[in-house]
Amino acid sequence: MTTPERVYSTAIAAIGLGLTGIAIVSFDVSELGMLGLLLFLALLTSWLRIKLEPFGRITLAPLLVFLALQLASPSTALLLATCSAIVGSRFVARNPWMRTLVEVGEEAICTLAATLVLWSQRSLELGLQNPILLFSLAVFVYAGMRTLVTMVAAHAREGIPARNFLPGAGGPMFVHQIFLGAIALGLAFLDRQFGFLAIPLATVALADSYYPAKLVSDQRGILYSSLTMIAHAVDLKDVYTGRHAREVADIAVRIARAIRLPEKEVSTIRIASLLHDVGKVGISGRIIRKPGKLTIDEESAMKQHPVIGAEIMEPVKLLADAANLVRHHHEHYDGSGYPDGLKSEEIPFGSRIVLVADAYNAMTTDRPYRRARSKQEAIRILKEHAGSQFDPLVVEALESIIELS
Amino acid sequence: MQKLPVQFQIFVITVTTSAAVLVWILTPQIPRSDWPELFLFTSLVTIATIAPFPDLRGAYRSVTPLLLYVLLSVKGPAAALVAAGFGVPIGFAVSIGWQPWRMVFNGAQIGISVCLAGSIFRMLGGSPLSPGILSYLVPLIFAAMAHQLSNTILVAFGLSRLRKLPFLPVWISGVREFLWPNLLNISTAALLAWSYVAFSPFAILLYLPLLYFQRSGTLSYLQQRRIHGQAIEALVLAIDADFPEGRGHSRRVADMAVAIARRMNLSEPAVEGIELGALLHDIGMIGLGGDVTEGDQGKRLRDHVSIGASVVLQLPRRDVADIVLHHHDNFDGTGTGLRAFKIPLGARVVAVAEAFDTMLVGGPPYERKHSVDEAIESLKRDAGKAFDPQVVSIFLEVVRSESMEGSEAQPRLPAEQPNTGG
Repeated sequence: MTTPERVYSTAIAAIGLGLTGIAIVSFDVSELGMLGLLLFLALLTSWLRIKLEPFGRITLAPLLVFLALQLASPSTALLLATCSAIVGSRFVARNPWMRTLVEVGEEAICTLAATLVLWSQRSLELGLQNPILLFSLAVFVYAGMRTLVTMVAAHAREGIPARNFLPGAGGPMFVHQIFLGAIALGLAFLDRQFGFLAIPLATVALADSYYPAKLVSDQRGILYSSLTMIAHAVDLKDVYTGRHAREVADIAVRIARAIRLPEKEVSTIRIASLLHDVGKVGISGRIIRKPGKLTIDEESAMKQHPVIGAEIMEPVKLLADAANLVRHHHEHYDGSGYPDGLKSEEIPFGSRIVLVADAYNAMTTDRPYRRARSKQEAIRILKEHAGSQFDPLVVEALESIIELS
Repeated sequence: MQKLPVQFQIFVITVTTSAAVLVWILTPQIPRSDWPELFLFTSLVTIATIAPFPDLRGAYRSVTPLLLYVLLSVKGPAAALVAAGFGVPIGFAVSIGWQPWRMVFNGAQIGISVCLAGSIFRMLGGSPLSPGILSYLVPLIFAAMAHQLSNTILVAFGLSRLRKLPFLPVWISGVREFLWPNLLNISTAALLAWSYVAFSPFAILLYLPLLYFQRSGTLSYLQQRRIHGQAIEALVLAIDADFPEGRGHSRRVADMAVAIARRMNLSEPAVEGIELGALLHDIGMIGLGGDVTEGDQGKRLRDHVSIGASVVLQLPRRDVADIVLHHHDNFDGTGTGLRAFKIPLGARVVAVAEAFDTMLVGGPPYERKHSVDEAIESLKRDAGKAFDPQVVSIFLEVVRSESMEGSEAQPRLPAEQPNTGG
C-alpha cells in the first residue's frame, strides 16, 4: 500500500465507523419495519454490483437510501447505506475487511452529505419550500459526492487521473445516481398514495434492467482472466515463470497512467502487455528453452515471435488494436530492434512501454540462470540504455512510479 | 396465400375473422376521451414490434406484452385489443415487409390473447385504482398467464399446421421460453400502470431510457461473449498445433463432451464448464512441445494435467480447472488421482470423449488408428475400469442417435452463436 492510499483509507474508514456508531445510537425503533423492508431489498439486490472501467462500481443501494431519506429519518438511511456497503463489499465482492470499511466510509459520507442538505433546510429555513426541489438537491449532492469520492479513491489506489476517470466511470456513475433519485421520488409518491407495494416491484424491475450490464462487467473480468490464462499457457514453452505476463501488464498500465494516456489506449496496452509473447506458440520449445547461444537460423526463428503474435491477434476484434503493439514490442529506440527496425517516434508508444515493462520485470524476477536484480539496479541498467534501446520518457515514467511504491 | 397448407389457411382465416368480429363489437365501448391514449399505445406497440429486444441467449423478445398488460389493466380488454390489432400489423409491415397473411394473423392472435387476458383481469376484480396484491397483482398474474397460454397455443397450432409438426412439443417449448420474461413483465407492468394512473399516461415514456440501457447492455454482453469465444478458439488452435492428435482434436473432444453433457440434462453453466474444460484439457501440452515421444512418456503425460490445471486456474471457474486436472484419472482408482464418483463429473465426461477421439486418430497411448466400431468396443471394455460406465452408456446413446440422424454434434461455443448485433 502506498502512503497516499494508506492515509486515505484510514481516514475514510474512521469516519465511516464513527458515523455508523452515531446512526446506531440515534436509531428510532419505530422505524424498524421500514429499515427491515428496505434492508431486505438492498440485500436481495446486493449481488448486482456492476464494476465500471477503469474504476468504480454502481449498485441499486442508492435507490433504497433515497427512499429512506424521504420516508424515514437520517439514521435509518445511514444504517441502510452502511449495511448494504458491508454486504456488497465483503460478501459479494469478497474484499478484505479494510477495503470494506473504506467502502462503508465512502457510502456513509455521501449519505451524510445528502442528509445535511435536507436537515439544513428543515432547521435553518433557507426558503426552499418545495419538497421535490429540496430532495432533488439532496440527490445531486449525493451523486456529486459519490463521484468525487470515487475519483479520489481511483487516484489514490490506482493512480488513475481524473481525466481518465470521468468519461469512462464518473459520468455514468453520476447519471445513474440521478436516475435512481428520480425513480425514488416517484416511488415515494406512489408509496404515500397506494402503499409500499410499488417499492419491491420497482426493485425487481430495475434489477431486471441492470442485469445485462452486470453480465457485461463480469464478462470483462472473465475476458481478462482468459487472456492471462493464454499468456500463462504460452509461458509454458519458456521456463514457466508464473506471474510474468500479469506483472508486466500491471507495470505497463501504471506507466501508461503516469504518462496520462487516455483510458482507451491504457486498456489496449494492458492487453498487448498480457499477450506480448503469444507468438511464441509458433516457435519450437527447443529453441525457446535453449540455454546457450542460438544459431543464426534459430535466432531468426525466434525473432519471428512478435510477427506471429500479431498475426494471431489481428483477426480477433478486441485484440486487433493491441496486435500492432505486440508486433513492435522488440523495436529499439535507435532502430536496432526487430522485426521492422523502426526508430524513436515511428514505434507505437504502447510498444515502447511494453518493452520497458517487460525488461524491468525480467530483471527483477529470479530466472534459472541468474538471481533477480534489485529494483535500483534494474532502473540503473534501464537508464543506461535509455535513448539506445529504450525510450527515455518511458524509463523516466517507470522510475517515477517505482519510487512511489 | 399460394402453396400454404389448406388447414393452415382455414386456421388463419378463422383467427383473423374472430379478431375482426371482436374489434367490431368492442370498439364502440371505448369512450372518445380514451382515443389519444390509445393512439399513444398503438404507436408504442408498433415501435416495439419494429425493434425487437435481444435476450441474453441471443434470441429475441418483444416489449409488446408489457405495453399491452399496462393498457389492459388501465383501460380494459377492448383498448388492448385495438392497440394490438393495429399496432402489431403496422410494425410487422415496416420491419419485415408486406406479407399480408403474416401481418394480419400476428395482429389478430396477439389481439385475441390480450383481449382474453383483459377480460380475466376484470373478472377477477383487478383495478389499477386500488393497487394491492389481491386487487391488482393476482389478477394481473392470472391475466398474463392466460395471455401467454392462449398466445402460445395459437402460434404453436399455426406453426404445427404450417410446418406439419406435432402440436404439443412446439407449444411446450414456446411456453418454456417465455415463462420467465413474462413473470418479470408483470412487476414492470404493474409499476407503469400505477404511474399511469397516479401521474400521467406519458409516465410510461420514462421507461424508455431504461429499456435502451437494457438493450445496449445485452448487445455488448453478446458481443463480448463472442470475442471471448474467439480468443479461446485461437488458444485451442495453438494447443493442437503442437502434438500428435493434431488439428481439431480439442474442438472435436469438446463437441462430443457437450453432446454427452446435454444428453445427461446438465444445467447450462455446467455444460459450458465442460465445454471449456474439454477445449483446454491439453493446455499443459504446450510446455511439452515436440518432446512427448522422448523420455519418460508416462510422467510427462501426468505432468501435463497438473501444469495445465495450474494455468487454467487463472479463470474464475474452479470446475474447469478440475476437469483439466482429473481427465486422466481412472474410474477404478488405479494409477494416480481420484477414484469413482470423487472424480468430477465433467472430468469423467471429458475422459470418455477424449479417449474416443484419440483412438480414431491414433495418438498416444493408442498405437494405431481404430475404426469407430473398434473404438466403441474398447470403451465398452474399459467401462468401470478407466471410465465411468454410466458416462460410457450415455456416450453410446449419443453415438447411436448421431449415426441415425447422420448429423454432427452441434458446436456451442459463444463464437458460434448467431450474430445479433445491430
